[in-house]
Amino acid sequence: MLLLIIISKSEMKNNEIKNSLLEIAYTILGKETVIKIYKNDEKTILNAIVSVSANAILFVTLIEDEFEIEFDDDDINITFFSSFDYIINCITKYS
Amino acid sequence: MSKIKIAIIDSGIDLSHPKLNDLSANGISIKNIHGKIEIDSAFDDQLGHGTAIASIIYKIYPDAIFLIIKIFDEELVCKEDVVCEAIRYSIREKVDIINLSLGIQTSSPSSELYNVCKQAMDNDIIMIAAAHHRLNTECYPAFFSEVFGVTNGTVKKKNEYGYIANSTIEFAAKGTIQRVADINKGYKIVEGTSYACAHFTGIVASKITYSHKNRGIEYIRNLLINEANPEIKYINNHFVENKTPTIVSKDLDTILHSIFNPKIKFNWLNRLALFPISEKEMKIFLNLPALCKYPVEKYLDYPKVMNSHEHKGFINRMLLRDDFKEFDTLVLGYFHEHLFQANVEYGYELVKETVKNNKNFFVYDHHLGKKIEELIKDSKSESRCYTPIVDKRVYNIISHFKTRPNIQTPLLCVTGTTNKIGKFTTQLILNNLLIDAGYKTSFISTEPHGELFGAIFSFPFGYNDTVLFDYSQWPNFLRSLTKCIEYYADPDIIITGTQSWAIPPSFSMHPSGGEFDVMQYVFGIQPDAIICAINPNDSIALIQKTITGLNICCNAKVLFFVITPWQREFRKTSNGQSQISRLLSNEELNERIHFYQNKLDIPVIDIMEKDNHKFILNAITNYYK
Repeated sequence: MLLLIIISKSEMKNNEIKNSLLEIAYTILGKETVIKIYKNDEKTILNAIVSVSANAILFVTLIEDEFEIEFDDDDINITFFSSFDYIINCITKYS
Repeated sequence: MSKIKIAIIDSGIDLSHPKLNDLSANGISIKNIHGKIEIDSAFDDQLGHGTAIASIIYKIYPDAIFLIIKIFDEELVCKEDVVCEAIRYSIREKVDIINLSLGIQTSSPSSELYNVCKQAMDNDIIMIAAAHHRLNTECYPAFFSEVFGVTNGTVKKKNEYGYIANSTIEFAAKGTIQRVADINKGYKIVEGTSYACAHFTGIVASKITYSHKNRGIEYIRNLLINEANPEIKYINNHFVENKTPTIVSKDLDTILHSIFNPKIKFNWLNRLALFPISEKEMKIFLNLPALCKYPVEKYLDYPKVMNSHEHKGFINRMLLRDDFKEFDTLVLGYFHEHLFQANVEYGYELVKETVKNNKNFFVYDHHLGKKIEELIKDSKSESRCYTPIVDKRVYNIISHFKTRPNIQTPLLCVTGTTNKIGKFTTQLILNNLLIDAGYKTSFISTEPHGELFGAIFSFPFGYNDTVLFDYSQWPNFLRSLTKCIEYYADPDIIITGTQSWAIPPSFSMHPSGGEFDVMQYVFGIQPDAIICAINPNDSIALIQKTITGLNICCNAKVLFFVITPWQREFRKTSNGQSQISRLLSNEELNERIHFYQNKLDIPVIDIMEKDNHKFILNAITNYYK
């Protein structure tokens, strides 16, 4: 039972982080664009962000500000922009 | 133990960046000012490229002493002699490694660049340079065997690198997406071989010791090969463009002079003779003689043409010895296509006589030009023959500018609804009006004789075109051409124009393959304003269709229409109907101007009317303001 609570808490935390990431994406790309055009699809959102250098750095910086962490530069690579789950893992590692 | 000294030849450095705390650096900047190399002590970074490069190297090997040599100031482009001077300076300063996150894309690197790289190697200096983003594209100095060329690798960790066997570019390091320091204490996310080069510089600096260095560059190369990670492969990234700064090679500069500078290109051309003057393409010399950049001494025509030219120098007989003394270059139209064989023979006879007299040729037609070149060779004559062809060689040279940013210079294009409505005349008048008003113009002509009227370049398409590469390559070439002209001539405005009609006048006409030449040209050149020539016979539907067609190819606004006073009419003759051009009276022309103005709601003017010149200048300058 205790294990289940821990898992569900961790899932809850992950969902919160994911929502924060979505909010950051809305700030950068525009909420309407992300919802209506990108249909909230993570892969599309991350592709759109990384395709513009200025947006990519803004995304990383906003994540660092939001979670009060500082990524190692080695963590910021093409894999970082591959999925929200990967980013969540990175954030969790530094939190 | 002495510290490794690294020269970074780039855009300088922003030493106030928090990531560069405690970085030990001296520096200078080197510039080419009006052809003279000048050195000063400021090496602050305005562009961020150098700061990013320094931050990468410093992160991997913080113990280095840095020599910052700033060569890029307002843009990531500089002259090759500046790079050579920066390398020479590094050699004098006895650095251990030179980082060159830059390259010259050329298949013929200059001997000066090679010699200075060789000199660095002879002084046991390790030179590390960025490859082109396409691994096999020649790019120097990375392609020199004396230099370690570096490309992007499948690397995630900053201190990993790979070796690429059997390749001119031997090493692959981290050039994929990464966060680096930027100016003003900022950061940016970048990718490209520049950054792979910087990573490799940091790795090499951290690996070598002075005992290694004393054993020479080849020893170090083998050491690096042996310690490379075999899992790492290079990334041939076709999508990363314009990330590595480009340098205009000295040789390329010389080649550009030979393409764009009339004083060099036509240093053999002074006084002209024209043949056959009765041809359409020659009329402009008679109509606007003052706009031709070279004096015309002889107007030659077929003996059979009964012509009433009153021009001094008009001749319709074979030239005599003394006639040849009055000109140095014969401008040849399409006489070889004349319907009467006798006239064709006459033309060839004239050519032979001209060769015999060691006079030069400016030939519109590519095939005729080739024939004349053979004749010159066989006759061992001193004549020259020039045809304004745009071939693969020119394509390759101009393509060097493909990755430069889009031009900022205004680009104005003259086009029209039909042929024979004064498009070339309009281009010439506009060009001269703007020059007289104090603007520096660059005129790209699409007529074969454009360069005789001051065009910086001719791209002759339409009838007997001399563009010798595939139609599908036009847009790429034309975009590179405008970038190249902006770099080379730095004009206030670029003027160009098209031939023939913009859209086919009838869909039932027999296809020739060139129906959409104008559209392809306009799409390639991307003007931001258009002046459209119309005919007094044109229907409103045709004009509107033309504008719609042009809008599909570019976002240019039609500033105004120009109308010719010549109206095409059909007249009954003894041989049946024939088309003639009738000069409209002032009243008729004014009536047509008012008609079109009311219907189109855009000004319509007669370009030949001098009273309109002020309006033209105002319309153009106001638009671009």
